[in-house]
Amino acid sequence: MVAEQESGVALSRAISRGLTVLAVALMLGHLAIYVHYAVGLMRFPFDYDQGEGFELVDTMLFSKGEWPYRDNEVYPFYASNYPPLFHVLLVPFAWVFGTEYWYGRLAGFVGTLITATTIGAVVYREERQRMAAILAGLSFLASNYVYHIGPLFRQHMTMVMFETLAVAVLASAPALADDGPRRHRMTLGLLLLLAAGYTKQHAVATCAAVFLFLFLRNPRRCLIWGAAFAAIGGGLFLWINWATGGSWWTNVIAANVNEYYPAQFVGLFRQWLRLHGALILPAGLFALYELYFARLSLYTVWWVMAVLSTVLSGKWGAGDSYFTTAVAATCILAGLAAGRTLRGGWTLPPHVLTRRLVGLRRFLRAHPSGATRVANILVPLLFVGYGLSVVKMPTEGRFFGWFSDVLGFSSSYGTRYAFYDSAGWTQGYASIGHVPSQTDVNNGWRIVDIVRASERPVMSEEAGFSLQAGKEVITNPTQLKNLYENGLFDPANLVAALRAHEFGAVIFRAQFYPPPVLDAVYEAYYPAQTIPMNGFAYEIWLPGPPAEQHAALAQALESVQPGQTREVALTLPFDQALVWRWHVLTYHGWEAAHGKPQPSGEGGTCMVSDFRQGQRTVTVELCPDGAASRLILSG
Amino acid sequence: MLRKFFTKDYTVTKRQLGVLLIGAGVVLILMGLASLLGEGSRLLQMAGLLGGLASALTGLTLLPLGDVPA
Repeated sequence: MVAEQESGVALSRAISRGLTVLAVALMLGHLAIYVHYAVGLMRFPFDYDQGEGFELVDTMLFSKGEWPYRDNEVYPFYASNYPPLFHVLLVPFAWVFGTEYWYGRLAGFVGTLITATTIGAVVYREERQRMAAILAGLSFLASNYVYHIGPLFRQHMTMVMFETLAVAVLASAPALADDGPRRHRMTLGLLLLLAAGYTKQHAVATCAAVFLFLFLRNPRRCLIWGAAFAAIGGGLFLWINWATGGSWWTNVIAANVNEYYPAQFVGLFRQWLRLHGALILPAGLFALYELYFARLSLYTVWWVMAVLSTVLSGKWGAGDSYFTTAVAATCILAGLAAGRTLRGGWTLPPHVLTRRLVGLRRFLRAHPSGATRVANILVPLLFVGYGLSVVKMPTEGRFFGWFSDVLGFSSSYGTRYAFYDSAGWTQGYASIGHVPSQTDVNNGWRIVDIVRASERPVMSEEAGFSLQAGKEVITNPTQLKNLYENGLFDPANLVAALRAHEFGAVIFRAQFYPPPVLDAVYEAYYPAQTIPMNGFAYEIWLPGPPAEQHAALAQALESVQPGQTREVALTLPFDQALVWRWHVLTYHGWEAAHGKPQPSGEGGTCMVSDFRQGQRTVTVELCPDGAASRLILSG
Repeated sequence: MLRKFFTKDYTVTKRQLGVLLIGAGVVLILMGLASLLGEGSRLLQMAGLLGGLASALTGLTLLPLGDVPA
């Protein structure tokens, strides 16, 4: 009997040890993939994720002592929609290294490492269980969401870092008996919280969690510290608003009121549950335990508020990054639950609910070793399950090509990217994660050459090309779009500048501009070429002929009758006019008829083709005319 | 009572937290019901209603825990 028991114990120990080794190996594997991705991104000299370049622009403006909160209606039609701290922290790098992407990405990446370390430290401080602490910290870095956004030149993960540090510092502050140390800790914690808020507005959920926790512990202290926090935070807010002539409020608050897509939130929430379910389950149970059988800790209150705040991920422009605070809080709770289980530290205090659990208490008391054995297997098993559900990796390269073949993983993005992602896709989920190739880099420099070749500034949907060409960055498109949709941006000046061909080219990636701006581009420019980079097609639009030549063609299209001919002289060279001709006829609602253009005229130097609009058909012939060209319309 | 609430050592109890959650739940339910009469996303209105209901029910379960610190 005793021998049987001993062999059972040995077997369960072996299983537990094997599962723990597997869990740690999986987490370290995820970390290695994350580091590979981060290094790959730091080498990439252009925007990888939409909007990174604008963060760099903000950093450069701060490095010159200028605010990025400006009037969007005057040249260069640029303003930032994010608080300043992340960019201000990078200013010393800007002074030393100039306009570079790598240091912003490095800051984001290091921020995630600090967050993971803090998660581990919190779990160890509370539970004194080393393995649970290590697994909890590594779990954060293994998340598909953290992987995505961690090494980007974006402020979100720096916000999560400040949030996690603030929670770590404040969680034990109310319990400190001495006034002095408690005051110091409260001051430090609230400064970190303020830093989170001035890194990104989304930290408001963590602020709510902190003050709700302080309220539960002691309403008086919450009121006093809350007043001080509001005075400092609000004072800073008012000062920046005053210093920027009100542009701070317009760009950082009003511009962030976007359209809401409930289906986007639901899709992302389901995905979050599916990917992180193995950690959410113990985290949820831990939260319930504290709610009914212990005091609510800041970690639990933070987790609840962070999960509730994910509802904001349904906003236009939001996405999976809005779940990263919830992921950090989940890792802490799951780590605490794991640590307490492994050290057998659960207690049921005597009160009205626990009296009803008398049977469970008796059973646990009667079989202590059985419960421990089950726990020792269950805890690493949960982390193994999590490690397997968040799998993602490149599917090309000397090692990853071979390794993904061995595992049977193929790219989730077909030929667009060589990257497998177990997350799949849902609306709002960032389609990134691959490491850009040398072809991407080369194509990026091709676009930069086009920007450099222009004597005029270039309006680009991404800042990177203008930055690398040493030219001024014109517009922040999503900002203009948000402001326009909220009735806070009059595009008249920008539209006039486009119609006057003040920009040597327009570069589109997703056409996230307000409709009147897009219409002005369609009217005054034409799509000259498309350059693929990083899985996206970058359209280079060049200025069309002067407005009067465009108007002459529009008038000719309107008036030409069967048997009549109209001729329009164009200042564009023949090859450019050929592309413009197709674009402008499409713009006016005509579609190509009877196949491709055919050579015509003497020596076949002209090109002729038919276009149709309803019952009407016109023949359009384009001929070179020295350095210019002539367009002949026949009804 | 209010003076006691703001003393140096006062801590909110499970019962008070329950009352707070019931209050928040009722407000959410009323907002959800009111918005059902107007326009807007049906999904969000239902989420508001369900969230309110969950909050109120959780609050109710905390009431029997009495003066245990929250």
